Amino acid sequence: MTRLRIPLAAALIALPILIRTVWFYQGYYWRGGSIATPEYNSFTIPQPPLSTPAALPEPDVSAPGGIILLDQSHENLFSSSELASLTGIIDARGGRVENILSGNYDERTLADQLKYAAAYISVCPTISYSSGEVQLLQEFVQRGGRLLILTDPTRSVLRVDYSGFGSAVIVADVIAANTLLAPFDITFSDDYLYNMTEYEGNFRNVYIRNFGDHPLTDGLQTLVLYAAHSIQTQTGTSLLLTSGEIKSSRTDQSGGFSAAALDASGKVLAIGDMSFLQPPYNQVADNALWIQRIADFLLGAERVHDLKDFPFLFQRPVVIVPMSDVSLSASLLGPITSIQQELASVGVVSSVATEAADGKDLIILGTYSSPGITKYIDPLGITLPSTSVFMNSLPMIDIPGFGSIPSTGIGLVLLSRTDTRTTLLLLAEESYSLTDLMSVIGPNGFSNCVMQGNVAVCGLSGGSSFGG
Amino acid sequence: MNAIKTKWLSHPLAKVLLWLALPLVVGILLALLVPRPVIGIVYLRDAIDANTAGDLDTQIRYAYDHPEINAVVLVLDSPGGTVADTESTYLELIRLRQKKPVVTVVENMSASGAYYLAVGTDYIMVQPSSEVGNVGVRTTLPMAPLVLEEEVSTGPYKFFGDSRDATLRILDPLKQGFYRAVVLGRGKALKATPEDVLSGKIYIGTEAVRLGLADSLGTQSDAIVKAASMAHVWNFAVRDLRKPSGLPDYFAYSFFFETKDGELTSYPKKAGTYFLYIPADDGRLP
Repeated sequence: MTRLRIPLAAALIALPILIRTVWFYQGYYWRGGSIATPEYNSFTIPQPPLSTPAALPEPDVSAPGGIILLDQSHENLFSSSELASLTGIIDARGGRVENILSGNYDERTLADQLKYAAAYISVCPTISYSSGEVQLLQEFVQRGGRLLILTDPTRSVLRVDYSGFGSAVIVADVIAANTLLAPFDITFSDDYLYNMTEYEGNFRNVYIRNFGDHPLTDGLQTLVLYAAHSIQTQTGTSLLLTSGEIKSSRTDQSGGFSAAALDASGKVLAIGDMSFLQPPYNQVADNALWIQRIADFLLGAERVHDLKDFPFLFQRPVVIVPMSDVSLSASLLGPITSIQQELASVGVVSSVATEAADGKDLIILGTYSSPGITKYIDPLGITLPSTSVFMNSLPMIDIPGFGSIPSTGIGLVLLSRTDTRTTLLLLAEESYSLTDLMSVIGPNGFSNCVMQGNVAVCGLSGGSSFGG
Repeated sequence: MNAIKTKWLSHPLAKVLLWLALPLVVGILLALLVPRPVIGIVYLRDAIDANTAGDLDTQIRYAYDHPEINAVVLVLDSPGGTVADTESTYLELIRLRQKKPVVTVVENMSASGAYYLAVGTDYIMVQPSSEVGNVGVRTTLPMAPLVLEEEVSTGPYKFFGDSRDATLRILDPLKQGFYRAVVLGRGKALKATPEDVLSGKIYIGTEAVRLGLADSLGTQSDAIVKAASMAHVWNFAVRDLRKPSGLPDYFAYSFFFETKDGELTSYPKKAGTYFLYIPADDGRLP
């Protein structure tokens, strides 16, 4: 019994401890192995795939230059320096970029500037284009001008309603751009393209490796766009096609997007990104080559000028030739000087001579009865009133598209072109009427004329006196 | 006197007392030395910044150092916050978990950096409509470098930290670290695709559970029970670890930008890089 006492006492001591332990603890927390944490040292900062400048073709400085209009009149969200990579190439190719300013900064109208421009660039506009502007630009494109419209998802504008609760609304830049592009069947989506699996530094910077078949994309293998809108066109050509896991933020779905498109005429280029133009992104992958292609596109415009484009009709020096029945009276010298000044203002040298000269364009001042005038008139299908008709009845002029119209009190401005010469004819009933006629093609720009193609029929202030 | 003592000790009752009651009393007294298990509660109901993360780290270290704390419940209602502070607290949680289980319970929100902390724990409970996820990083790009007449510096990026492009690229390794933390923390429970995780989406609690971003629905009480269960304890006490760890009463730090009218916005006071969710607000500017 005595031998049991000690174990019993020990058990009695242990019992409360055991009971309390069991009361609180059912087991022992043990974690096998260590807990893994991210391998922070293995995560590196992605670097862009820079292109090799040597791979780029040399600028073709022999290519004809041209004036490229850069719109700054629609509260465009960019600064000129952001386009330096593009405008630098335009300069290198003999082109010149001219800004279109808004309000009172520029007296000239869009119509005036489009007369001589090869191309028109609009970058991230935030004010919609008026129907008048759209029409002007449509006509510009129809006459060979080219449009480049750039938007960028990062250039939306925040408009704040200060009159109410100060709520802000984000207005996408595509809204204004789409007002201009609607007639050309191109639409920017209010989205951005992204790729969560393969990207250049950030998910919104996407690689483009599929290209539409067009000279603009010749030689391109990889482009990187730094946040780009997708673009839809039914009749045009999609140029920068997405592939793989590139998705649109609008649907979060992949497949079938394009970040650049040409309209059906091939003269309107829309690109949903402008960041690729800026350093350092202009040197990534084939972006520099793509920028060169865009510059080529802009300078490749083949403008077809019509009468409205005076004085930008001529590519060569101009000879002003009064026909033999037109005397250079004092009243005619003033308007001739004005025309010469207008030509000089656009860099066209002119002179007055008695006959045309080889290698020069021509302005003819004549009357309906000028000897030899028919060789200029006949190709245009115009029939002038003959002397016999003139004496016996109301003289009429037959003009294709206009029909027969009385020649009294009107003047004609006609444009004809051959491969070697551009000829502008100013014809009036009498020599003295030419003074009035020459004034209508001056600064007022055919304000008193009905125009159709290369024919303008202009009312002259002194014409009503016929027969009186 | 000795005779009386001897007589008393020889009494059968005395023998019982000596050999039964006394050891029992001693045992009871010794049993009192067995600590009652404690489930420590650590709260984060603010953005993560140097102040709040410092407080969290202090409490986590207290739990680590004190054996009576058998498990910890991390109560989260936070949109996340600064990157380095989040990573620091995450690593403190991992260290604690080597010793003790940690369970997260999400109240309204565990977004971005707060979710980073959550995946550093053993188990995540959410409310059905808790906002969970928003994995990713955000930053404000610095302005393009310029020089000023009155403010001068010794290098082109002294004012700006780095170039805009480099600042953007820094996000990627931070994002990768975050994503790896999610993958490692959630393990086989994770059903969401990498793109689901990295999209930055906010998921409601039920969806988060379905995608394996959280383990189950549950309240704070459930989380405490779960933590106790993982620590194999019962009849435990619950203790807010703020006071025991020597921290003063909670003080709301001014992480968020305050308008001139005194209205608190969802935007941080300072521009920078954050594991932070800024909810779509009513359009008011910060």
